[in-house]
Amino acid sequence: MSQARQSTPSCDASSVLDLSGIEVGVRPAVHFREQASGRGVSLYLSLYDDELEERAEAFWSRGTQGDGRPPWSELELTDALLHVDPNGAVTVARGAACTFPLYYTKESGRLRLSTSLPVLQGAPLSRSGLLTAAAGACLHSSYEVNALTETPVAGWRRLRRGAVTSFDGPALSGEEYMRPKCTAAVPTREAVCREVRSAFDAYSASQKRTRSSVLEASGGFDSTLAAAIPSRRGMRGVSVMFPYYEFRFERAVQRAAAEHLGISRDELDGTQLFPYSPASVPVRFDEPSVFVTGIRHAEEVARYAASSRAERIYTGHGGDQCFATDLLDREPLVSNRLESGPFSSEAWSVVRRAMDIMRGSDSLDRSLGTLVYDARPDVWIRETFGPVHRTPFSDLRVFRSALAWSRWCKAHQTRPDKSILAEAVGDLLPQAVVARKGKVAYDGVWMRAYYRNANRIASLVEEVSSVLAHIGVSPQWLQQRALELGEWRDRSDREVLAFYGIAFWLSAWGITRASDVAWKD
Amino acid sequence: MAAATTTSSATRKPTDESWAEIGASDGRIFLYGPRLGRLYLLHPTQASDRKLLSIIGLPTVSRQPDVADPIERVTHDRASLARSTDGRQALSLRLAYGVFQLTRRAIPFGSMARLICWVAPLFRGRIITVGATASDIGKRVHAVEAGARHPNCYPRALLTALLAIAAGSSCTLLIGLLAPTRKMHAWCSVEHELPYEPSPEHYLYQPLWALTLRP
Repeated sequence: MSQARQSTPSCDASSVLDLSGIEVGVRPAVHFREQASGRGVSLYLSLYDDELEERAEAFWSRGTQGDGRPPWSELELTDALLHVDPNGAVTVARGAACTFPLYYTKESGRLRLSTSLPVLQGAPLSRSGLLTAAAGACLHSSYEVNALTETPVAGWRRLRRGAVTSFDGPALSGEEYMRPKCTAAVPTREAVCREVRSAFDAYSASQKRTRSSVLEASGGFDSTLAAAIPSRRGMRGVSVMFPYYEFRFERAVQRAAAEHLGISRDELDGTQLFPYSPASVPVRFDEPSVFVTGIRHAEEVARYAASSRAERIYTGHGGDQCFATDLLDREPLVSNRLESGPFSSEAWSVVRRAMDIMRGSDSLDRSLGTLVYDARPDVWIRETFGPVHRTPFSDLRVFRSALAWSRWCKAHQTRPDKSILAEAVGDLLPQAVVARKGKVAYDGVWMRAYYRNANRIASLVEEVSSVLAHIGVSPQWLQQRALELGEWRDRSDREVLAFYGIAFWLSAWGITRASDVAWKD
Repeated sequence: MAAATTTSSATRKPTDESWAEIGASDGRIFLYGPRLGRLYLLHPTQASDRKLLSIIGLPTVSRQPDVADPIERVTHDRASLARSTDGRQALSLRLAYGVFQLTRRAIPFGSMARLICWVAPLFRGRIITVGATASDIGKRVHAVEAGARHPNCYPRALLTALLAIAAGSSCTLLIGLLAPTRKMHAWCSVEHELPYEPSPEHYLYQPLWALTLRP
């Protein structure tokens, strides 16, 4: 006999659950469903409240694998599952594109799990945790670092995405990546087409409860497919426009996409949403992230959605990573090397060690799905503005169909591209989108952003300079580099990007002097 | 609007040149100087200095408010020729590609373009048939690039021009900029078509300078 309890949709405060003696902190944005049976207790977690029940039931209905364990590879990429067996052994599976953070610590000899990091709640900060975050940002851009589990809060570790982590009591006893199952034979192109079609049909059906939404309409394949859901009543489109030469074809394509979908479309002025533009509301992420360079853009789209009373913000994020990337290859790390200039020798050795680990990490294997979708802003947007980000490309079925496409391409010695989407779901796309020119490069926008915001970046670094100096990073070096970038000198922005993320995080939490907090190391 | 300045047939020269400036968002101005093949970021007073413009190879008579990109379609890209079986190309074409690549720091783009205009008629009917279309030219360029170690836009544009002139067609070479970055791109229009570009990207680059070559 199984029992179930679940979060209520109106839940607006964090919950602390007792899962067979394991304390689990669940933040307001995350919804859960619990099931108890003879095999133990499971907790299914998802950001998508209206899809939670179907997802949890679908997972649990698959029963167990031969070894009696849950079928981990069937877990949706955006979700997580906690399981405590009758002997008290804890297993946590975190989806490869999990849309919320998940951490663990050992407290008074017991395991504690949480979907939020307890910053400034008594635990000291970790110098190496901050430097590791910077190294991750340097090499990995905005994705949550998966190769390393250290966080800025001492004693707290992040659970890897795309992995099953096992605990023996409070101690970590094993980690294993969830590798998607594939058929032995390479599928035919027709079979790949059918798989892609069926995956998008399933995505479309999963959105049947959405009553009002906003589409971030870029005029590309991906965002247009994200909007291919049963009811577009109440859907509005929003596009960000730039008055620059390279963007001159964008408006016409976006307009055609909106007309095809039968939705209205408004425009936001991209020149007011440049990278490094500040948000107008407080932004406290659990961990430092390079994503905050684009926070103003995310904020304005979310604000637009909130004012439209939208439940969902549909985007095409992950489309390129799924269908125009070889998922059987390893993800290359950024090409411009990190400079040792801003680091003390001690800090540089921490950063180098972190980078070495990242370079050799299995998490760079694209077939795991950990590099499909960057979910860093999702929880913040849900908790600050209300709507939930949703993209089809983080759905397990869509990702599997993309893997099948990569396998077909590899067998035929060709690069994956979106021709398979035009073939499989072309009826959902207007001709203007199918025939559109390629992606617009944002290099020029970034240059203009540095020109406009260099002084602001330098000021933010100045604000937290005491903390940066404490962890072994030179604020002067970073300020000088930011100003040089503002003058369009030929310099790498890797270090400024990474430490802007760190400085933004410190400032957001009010940690402006090293003496504001306790330090572990 | 055509990329190059137009002239009546009575006064028509074998080459026509046009250039424009691009604002850099910080008040300065980008110019491409064909004499040394360099990109310049100048203050407005410098950008209107006739003597300086003349030194960098920009005659004021060729100045235009904008240089339009004449491309109406990309004839072939990497995907469309993925299954092409054109095979090995003539040694002369592979050599020409290599020479364009090797001499890019020694011979400015504009000078090399004029050199092509001068020597290409010598190859008429040898490296490509007279009257060959943009599609034929694109397939040749693609086949040469398939064997090139570091294919890029610079030798591609010049090889396209060489083949176009040898085939008896006019062509327009363009240099564009993704402002305000220093990223530049070269491409060659043959009858408003871009014969081959592996992944079409010319439309991102605002033309700074164009040179029309006639056979």
